[in-house]
Amino acid sequence: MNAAAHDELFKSWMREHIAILHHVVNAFAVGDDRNDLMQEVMIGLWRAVPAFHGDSQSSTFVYRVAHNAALVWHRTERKHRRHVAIAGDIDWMARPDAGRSRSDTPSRLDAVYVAIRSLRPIDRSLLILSLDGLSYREIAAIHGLSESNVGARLTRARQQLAELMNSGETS
Amino acid sequence: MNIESLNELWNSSANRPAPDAGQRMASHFVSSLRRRRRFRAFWLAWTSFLLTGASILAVTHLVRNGLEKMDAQWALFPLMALPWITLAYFWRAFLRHGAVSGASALPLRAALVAAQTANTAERHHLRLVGWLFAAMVPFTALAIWQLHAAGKTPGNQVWSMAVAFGVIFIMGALGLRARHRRQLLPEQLTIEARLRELDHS
Repeated sequence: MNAAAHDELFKSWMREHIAILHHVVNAFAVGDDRNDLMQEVMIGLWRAVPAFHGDSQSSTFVYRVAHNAALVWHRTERKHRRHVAIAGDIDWMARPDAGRSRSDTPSRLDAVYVAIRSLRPIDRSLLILSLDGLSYREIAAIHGLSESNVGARLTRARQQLAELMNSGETS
Repeated sequence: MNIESLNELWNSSANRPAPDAGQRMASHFVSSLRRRRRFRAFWLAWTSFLLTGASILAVTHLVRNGLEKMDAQWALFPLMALPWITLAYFWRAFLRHGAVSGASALPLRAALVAAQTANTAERHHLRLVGWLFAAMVPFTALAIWQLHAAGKTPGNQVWSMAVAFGVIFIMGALGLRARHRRQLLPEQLTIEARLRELDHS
Protein backbone atom coordinates (compact mmCIF):
# COMPACT_ATOMS: atom_id res chain seq x y z
CA MET A 1 0.00 0.00 0.00
CA ASN A 2 1.48 3.35 -0.99
CA ALA A 3 1.43 6.45 1.22
CA ALA A 4 -1.43 8.15 -0.64
CA ALA A 5 -3.68 5.07 -0.44
CA HIS A 6 -2.75 4.69 3.23
CA ASP A 7 -3.71 8.31 3.96
CA GLU A 8 -6.93 8.05 1.98
CA LEU A 9 -8.12 4.86 3.69
CA PHE A 10 -7.29 6.26 7.12
CA LYS A 11 -9.16 9.49 6.40
CA SER A 12 -12.18 7.65 5.04
CA TRP A 13 -12.34 5.48 8.18
CA MET A 14 -12.05 8.54 10.38
CA ARG A 15 -14.90 10.16 8.45
CA GLU A 16 -17.16 7.10 8.54
CA HIS A 17 -16.36 5.76 11.99
CA ILE A 18 -15.64 8.85 14.06
CA ALA A 19 -18.56 7.98 16.35
CA ILE A 20 -16.88 4.68 17.28
CA LEU A 21 -13.77 6.55 18.39
CA HIS A 22 -15.81 9.18 20.17
CA HIS A 23 -17.69 6.58 22.23
CA VAL A 24 -14.55 4.63 23.14
CA VAL A 25 -12.56 7.71 24.10
CA ASN A 26 -15.30 9.11 26.33
CA ALA A 27 -15.93 5.73 27.96
CA PHE A 28 -12.26 5.12 28.84
CA ALA A 29 -10.86 8.57 29.55
CA VAL A 30 -11.98 11.81 31.08
CA GLY A 31 -10.97 15.46 30.69
CA ASP A 32 -7.68 16.13 28.93
CA ASP A 33 -6.84 12.42 28.96
CA ARG A 34 -9.32 12.03 26.10
CA ASN A 35 -6.81 13.77 23.81
CA ASP A 36 -4.17 11.30 24.91
CA LEU A 37 -6.37 8.27 24.33
CA MET A 38 -7.66 9.64 21.03
CA GLN A 39 -4.07 9.95 19.85
CA GLU A 40 -3.33 6.38 20.94
CA VAL A 41 -6.36 5.10 19.07
CA MET A 42 -5.52 7.12 15.97
CA ILE A 43 -1.89 5.97 16.00
CA GLY A 44 -3.06 2.36 16.42
CA LEU A 45 -5.47 2.76 13.54
CA TRP A 46 -2.87 4.48 11.39
CA ARG A 47 -0.34 1.69 11.93
CA ALA A 48 -2.94 -1.02 11.39
CA VAL A 49 -4.20 0.33 8.04
CA PRO A 50 -1.84 -1.82 5.89
CA ALA A 51 -2.97 -4.93 7.82
CA PHE A 52 -6.54 -4.48 6.55
CA HIS A 53 -7.14 -6.90 3.70
CA GLY A 54 -10.88 -6.49 3.38
CA ASP A 55 -11.71 -9.91 4.85
CA SER A 56 -13.92 -8.22 7.44
CA GLN A 57 -15.98 -5.05 7.44
CA SER A 58 -14.02 -1.85 8.01
CA SER A 59 -16.23 -1.09 11.03
CA THR A 60 -15.25 -4.42 12.65
CA PHE A 61 -11.61 -3.59 12.05
CA VAL A 62 -11.97 -0.09 13.51
CA TYR A 63 -13.93 -1.41 16.50
CA ARG A 64 -11.17 -3.91 17.26
CA VAL A 65 -8.32 -1.44 16.98
CA ALA A 66 -10.13 1.25 18.97
CA HIS A 67 -11.30 -1.05 21.77
CA ASN A 68 -7.97 -2.90 22.01
CA ALA A 69 -6.12 0.42 22.21
CA ALA A 70 -8.45 1.69 24.92
CA LEU A 71 -8.22 -1.53 26.92
CA VAL A 72 -4.42 -1.42 27.16
CA TRP A 73 -4.18 2.35 27.43
CA HIS A 74 -2.74 3.85 30.58
CA ARG A 75 -2.16 7.47 31.30
CA THR A 76 1.37 8.84 31.46
CA GLU A 77 2.31 12.48 31.90
CA ARG A 78 5.01 12.40 29.26
CA LYS A 79 2.77 10.96 26.58
CA HIS A 80 0.02 13.33 27.58
CA ARG A 81 2.22 16.38 27.05
CA ARG A 82 3.55 15.09 23.73
CA HIS A 83 0.12 14.26 22.39
CA VAL A 84 -1.53 17.49 23.38
CA ALA A 85 0.82 19.23 20.98
CA ILE A 86 -0.67 17.37 18.00
CA ALA A 87 -4.17 16.93 19.35
CA GLY A 88 -5.41 19.95 17.44
CA ASP A 89 -9.14 20.44 17.52
CA ILE A 90 -10.08 17.29 19.40
CA ASP A 91 -11.32 19.06 22.51
CA TRP A 92 -14.78 19.83 21.24
CA MET A 93 -15.16 16.08 20.53
CA ALA A 94 -16.26 15.70 24.12
CA ARG A 95 -19.55 17.32 23.20
CA PRO A 96 -20.23 17.50 19.46
CA ASP A 97 -23.26 19.77 19.76
CA ALA A 98 -21.79 22.07 22.40
CA GLY A 99 -23.32 25.50 22.09
CA ARG A 100 -26.12 24.27 19.86
CA SER A 101 -28.15 22.14 22.22
CA ARG A 102 -30.41 23.77 24.77
CA SER A 103 -31.70 20.49 26.16
CA ASP A 104 -30.34 18.58 29.13
CA THR A 105 -29.07 15.84 26.78
CA PRO A 106 -25.35 16.67 27.22
CA SER A 107 -25.51 16.50 31.02
CA ARG A 108 -27.53 13.28 30.89
CA LEU A 109 -24.98 11.89 28.48
CA ASP A 110 -22.17 12.91 30.81
CA ALA A 111 -23.93 11.02 33.59
CA VAL A 112 -24.15 7.92 31.37
CA TYR A 113 -20.45 8.12 30.60
CA VAL A 114 -19.60 8.58 34.29
CA ALA A 115 -21.58 5.42 35.06
CA ILE A 116 -19.99 3.51 32.17
CA ARG A 117 -16.50 4.51 33.29
CA SER A 118 -17.10 2.93 36.68
CA LEU A 119 -17.66 -0.51 35.12
CA ARG A 120 -14.81 -2.98 34.65
CA PRO A 121 -12.92 -2.24 31.40
CA ILE A 122 -13.96 -5.31 29.38
CA ASP A 123 -17.58 -5.04 30.52
CA ARG A 124 -17.41 -1.37 29.58
CA SER A 125 -16.17 -2.24 26.11
CA LEU A 126 -18.93 -4.82 25.60
CA LEU A 127 -21.56 -2.38 26.79
CA ILE A 128 -20.44 0.31 24.36
CA LEU A 129 -20.56 -2.18 21.50
CA SER A 130 -24.04 -3.19 22.58
CA LEU A 131 -25.20 0.42 22.83
CA ASP A 132 -23.81 0.97 19.33
CA GLY A 133 -26.38 -1.57 18.18
CA LEU A 134 -24.13 -4.57 17.55
CA SER A 135 -25.55 -8.07 18.02
CA TYR A 136 -24.06 -10.63 20.42
CA ARG A 137 -22.60 -12.43 17.42
CA GLU A 138 -20.90 -9.28 16.11
CA ILE A 139 -19.56 -8.41 19.57
CA ALA A 140 -18.30 -11.99 20.00
CA ALA A 141 -16.54 -11.74 16.62
CA ILE A 142 -14.88 -8.44 17.52
CA HIS A 143 -13.57 -9.60 20.89
CA GLY A 144 -13.07 -13.28 20.11
CA LEU A 145 -15.40 -14.37 22.91
CA SER A 146 -18.24 -16.85 22.79
CA GLU A 147 -21.76 -15.47 22.35
CA SER A 148 -22.82 -16.96 25.69
CA ASN A 149 -19.90 -15.25 27.44
CA VAL A 150 -20.81 -11.95 25.81
CA GLY A 151 -24.42 -12.41 26.88
CA ALA A 152 -23.53 -13.20 30.49
CA ARG A 153 -21.12 -10.29 30.78
CA LEU A 154 -23.54 -7.87 29.13
CA THR A 155 -26.40 -8.86 31.41
CA ARG A 156 -24.22 -8.15 34.42
CA ALA A 157 -22.91 -4.89 32.94
CA ARG A 158 -26.42 -3.64 32.12
CA GLN A 159 -27.58 -4.39 35.66
CA GLN A 160 -24.63 -2.52 37.12
CA LEU A 161 -25.22 0.41 34.77
CA ALA A 162 -28.91 0.55 35.68
CA GLU A 163 -28.06 0.53 39.39
CA LEU A 164 -25.47 3.26 38.92
CA MET A 165 -27.86 5.39 36.85
CA ASN A 166 -30.72 4.94 39.29
CA SER A 167 -28.54 5.77 42.28
CA GLY A 168 -27.37 8.85 40.40
CA GLU A 169 -30.95 9.92 39.66
CA THR A 170 -32.13 9.44 43.23
CA SER A 171 -29.15 11.18 44.86
CA MET B 1 -33.53 5.52 33.07
CA ASN B 2 -34.83 2.58 31.02
CA ILE B 3 -33.06 0.91 28.12
CA GLU B 4 -35.13 2.73 25.45
CA SER B 5 -34.27 6.17 26.77
CA LEU B 6 -30.64 5.10 27.18
CA ASN B 7 -30.50 3.99 23.54
CA GLU B 8 -32.19 7.20 22.44
CA LEU B 9 -29.68 9.25 24.40
CA TRP B 10 -26.76 7.18 23.10
CA ASN B 11 -27.84 7.68 19.49
CA SER B 12 -28.58 11.38 19.88
CA SER B 13 -26.62 14.01 17.96
CA ALA B 14 -24.86 14.95 21.21
CA ASN B 15 -23.10 11.61 21.11
CA ARG B 16 -22.38 11.46 17.38
CA PRO B 17 -19.77 13.80 15.89
CA ALA B 18 -20.29 14.90 12.31
CA PRO B 19 -18.26 12.95 9.71
CA ASP B 20 -16.42 16.09 8.55
CA ALA B 21 -15.07 16.46 12.10
CA GLY B 22 -13.43 13.05 11.74
CA GLN B 23 -12.07 14.11 8.35
CA ARG B 24 -10.58 17.29 9.84
CA MET B 25 -8.98 15.41 12.70
CA ALA B 26 -7.54 12.82 10.31
CA SER B 27 -6.05 15.50 8.03
CA HIS B 28 -4.51 17.30 11.00
CA PHE B 29 -3.18 14.04 12.42
CA VAL B 30 -1.70 12.80 9.14
CA SER B 31 0.06 16.08 8.36
CA SER B 32 1.45 16.28 11.94
CA LEU B 33 2.65 12.70 11.81
CA ARG B 34 4.32 13.09 8.43
CA ARG B 35 5.96 16.38 9.47
CA ARG B 36 7.34 14.82 12.64
CA ARG B 37 8.66 11.78 10.79
CA ARG B 38 10.32 13.98 8.18
CA PHE B 39 12.00 16.02 10.93
CA ARG B 40 13.20 12.88 12.74
CA ALA B 41 14.44 11.31 9.52
CA PHE B 42 16.36 14.49 8.70
CA TRP B 43 17.84 14.68 12.20
CA LEU B 44 18.91 11.03 12.15
CA ALA B 45 20.35 11.26 8.63
CA TRP B 46 22.31 14.42 9.52
CA THR B 47 23.66 12.86 12.75
CA SER B 48 24.60 9.69 10.85
CA PHE B 49 26.40 11.80 8.27
CA LEU B 50 28.37 13.72 10.92
CA LEU B 51 29.23 10.57 12.84
CA THR B 52 30.35 8.79 9.67
CA GLY B 53 32.58 11.77 8.85
CA ALA B 54 34.07 11.78 12.34
CA SER B 55 34.65 8.02 12.21
CA ILE B 56 36.34 8.23 8.80
CA LEU B 57 38.60 11.02 10.10
CA ALA B 58 39.51 8.96 13.16
CA VAL B 59 40.31 5.84 11.15
CA THR B 60 42.30 7.87 8.59
CA HIS B 61 44.27 9.40 11.44
CA LEU B 62 45.03 5.94 12.83
CA VAL B 63 46.12 4.59 9.45
CA ARG B 64 48.34 7.62 8.77
CA ASN B 65 50.03 7.21 12.16
CA GLY B 66 50.77 3.61 11.28
CA LEU B 67 48.76 0.59 12.25
CA GLU B 68 51.69 -0.70 14.33
CA LYS B 69 50.85 2.04 16.86
CA MET B 70 47.36 0.63 17.23
CA ASP B 71 48.13 -0.86 20.64
CA ALA B 72 48.52 2.68 21.96
CA GLN B 73 45.40 4.05 20.27
CA TRP B 74 42.78 1.30 20.60
CA ALA B 75 40.84 3.49 23.04
CA LEU B 76 39.45 5.47 20.14
CA PHE B 77 37.26 2.53 19.08
CA PRO B 78 35.24 2.12 22.28
CA LEU B 79 34.86 5.90 22.48
CA MET B 80 33.47 5.90 18.93
CA ALA B 81 31.29 2.88 19.63
CA LEU B 82 29.12 4.68 22.18
CA PRO B 83 27.63 7.31 19.82
CA TRP B 84 27.14 4.62 17.14
CA ILE B 85 25.24 2.39 19.55
CA THR B 86 23.09 5.33 20.64
CA LEU B 87 22.41 6.29 17.03
CA ALA B 88 21.48 2.70 16.14
CA TYR B 89 19.04 2.72 19.06
CA PHE B 90 17.36 5.89 17.76
CA TRP B 91 17.21 4.52 14.19
CA ARG B 92 15.62 1.34 15.47
CA ALA B 93 12.99 3.30 17.41
CA PHE B 94 12.33 5.47 14.35
CA LEU B 95 11.88 2.51 11.99
CA ARG B 96 9.79 0.54 14.46
CA HIS B 97 7.43 3.45 15.03
CA GLY B 98 6.54 3.50 11.36
CA ALA B 99 6.17 -0.27 11.12
CA VAL B 100 2.86 -1.94 10.35
CA SER B 101 1.15 -3.28 13.44
CA GLY B 102 -1.71 -5.63 12.69
CA ALA B 103 -1.74 -7.05 16.24
CA SER B 104 -4.07 -4.28 17.39
CA ALA B 105 -6.73 -5.57 14.96
CA LEU B 106 -6.73 -9.08 16.44
CA PRO B 107 -9.49 -10.37 18.71
CA LEU B 108 -9.03 -9.18 22.29
CA ARG B 109 -7.19 -12.13 23.86
CA ALA B 110 -4.81 -12.51 20.90
CA ALA B 111 -4.20 -8.75 20.89
CA LEU B 112 -3.48 -8.77 24.63
CA VAL B 113 -1.11 -11.72 24.30
CA ALA B 114 0.66 -10.00 21.38
CA ALA B 115 0.92 -6.78 23.42
CA GLN B 116 2.28 -8.75 26.38
CA THR B 117 4.88 -10.47 24.17
CA ALA B 118 5.94 -7.14 22.69
CA ASN B 119 6.14 -5.59 26.16
CA THR B 120 8.28 -8.47 27.47
CA ALA B 121 10.59 -8.25 24.45
CA GLU B 122 10.91 -4.49 24.89
CA ARG B 123 11.74 -4.81 28.58
CA HIS B 124 14.28 -7.52 27.78
CA HIS B 125 15.81 -5.27 25.15
CA LEU B 126 15.90 -2.35 27.58
CA ARG B 127 17.64 -4.52 30.19
CA LEU B 128 20.21 -5.52 27.58
CA VAL B 129 20.87 -1.88 26.70
CA GLY B 130 21.15 -1.13 30.43
CA TRP B 131 23.80 -3.84 30.88
CA LEU B 132 25.62 -2.54 27.83
CA PHE B 133 25.62 0.94 29.36
CA ALA B 134 26.92 -0.46 32.65
CA ALA B 135 29.67 -2.36 30.83
CA MET B 136 30.65 0.75 28.90
CA VAL B 137 31.30 2.82 32.05
CA PRO B 138 34.56 1.12 33.17
CA PHE B 139 35.52 0.51 29.55
CA THR B 140 35.18 4.21 28.71
CA ALA B 141 37.10 5.21 31.82
CA LEU B 142 39.87 2.82 30.79
CA ALA B 143 39.81 4.20 27.24
CA ILE B 144 40.13 7.81 28.44
CA TRP B 145 42.97 6.84 30.75
CA GLN B 146 44.68 4.96 27.91
CA LEU B 147 44.44 7.95 25.56
CA HIS B 148 45.98 10.13 28.28
CA ALA B 149 48.73 7.58 28.92
CA ALA B 150 49.50 7.42 25.19
CA GLY B 151 49.89 11.21 25.13
CA LYS B 152 46.84 11.75 22.94
CA THR B 153 44.86 13.66 25.54
CA PRO B 154 46.27 16.38 27.83
CA GLY B 155 45.31 16.31 31.52
CA ASN B 156 42.71 19.11 31.34
CA GLN B 157 40.95 17.39 28.44
CA VAL B 158 40.76 14.12 30.35
CA TRP B 159 38.41 15.73 32.87
CA SER B 160 36.32 17.34 30.16
CA MET B 161 35.94 13.96 28.44
CA ALA B 162 35.14 12.23 31.70
CA VAL B 163 32.44 14.79 32.53
CA ALA B 164 30.97 14.66 29.00
CA PHE B 165 30.77 10.87 28.96
CA GLY B 166 29.52 10.85 32.55
CA VAL B 167 26.66 13.16 31.60
CA ILE B 168 25.85 10.96 28.59
CA PHE B 169 25.78 7.83 30.75
CA ILE B 170 23.63 9.43 33.44
CA MET B 171 21.14 10.84 30.92
CA GLY B 172 20.99 7.53 29.08
CA ALA B 173 20.41 5.60 32.31
CA LEU B 174 17.69 8.02 33.41
CA GLY B 175 16.02 7.70 30.00
CA LEU B 176 16.05 3.90 30.20
CA ARG B 177 14.72 3.96 33.74
CA ALA B 178 11.94 6.37 32.85
CA ARG B 179 10.86 4.27 29.89
CA HIS B 180 10.77 1.15 32.01
CA ARG B 181 9.00 2.60 35.04
CA ARG B 182 6.65 5.08 33.42
CA GLN B 183 5.69 3.24 30.26
CA LEU B 184 6.56 -0.44 30.04
CA LEU B 185 5.81 -1.46 33.63
CA PRO B 186 2.36 0.23 33.81
CA GLU B 187 1.56 -1.22 30.39
CA GLN B 188 2.52 -4.70 31.57
CA LEU B 189 0.32 -4.33 34.68
CA THR B 190 -2.60 -3.12 32.56
CA ILE B 191 -2.30 -6.05 30.16
CA GLU B 192 -2.10 -8.54 33.01
CA ALA B 193 -5.17 -7.00 34.62
CA ARG B 194 -7.14 -7.26 31.35
CA LEU B 195 -6.11 -10.90 30.86
CA ARG B 196 -7.22 -11.69 34.43
CA GLU B 197 -10.51 -9.92 33.79
CA LEU B 198 -10.96 -11.87 30.57
CA ASP B 199 -10.39 -15.18 32.37
CA HIS B 200 -12.80 -14.23 35.13
CA SER B 201 -16.13 -14.52 33.31
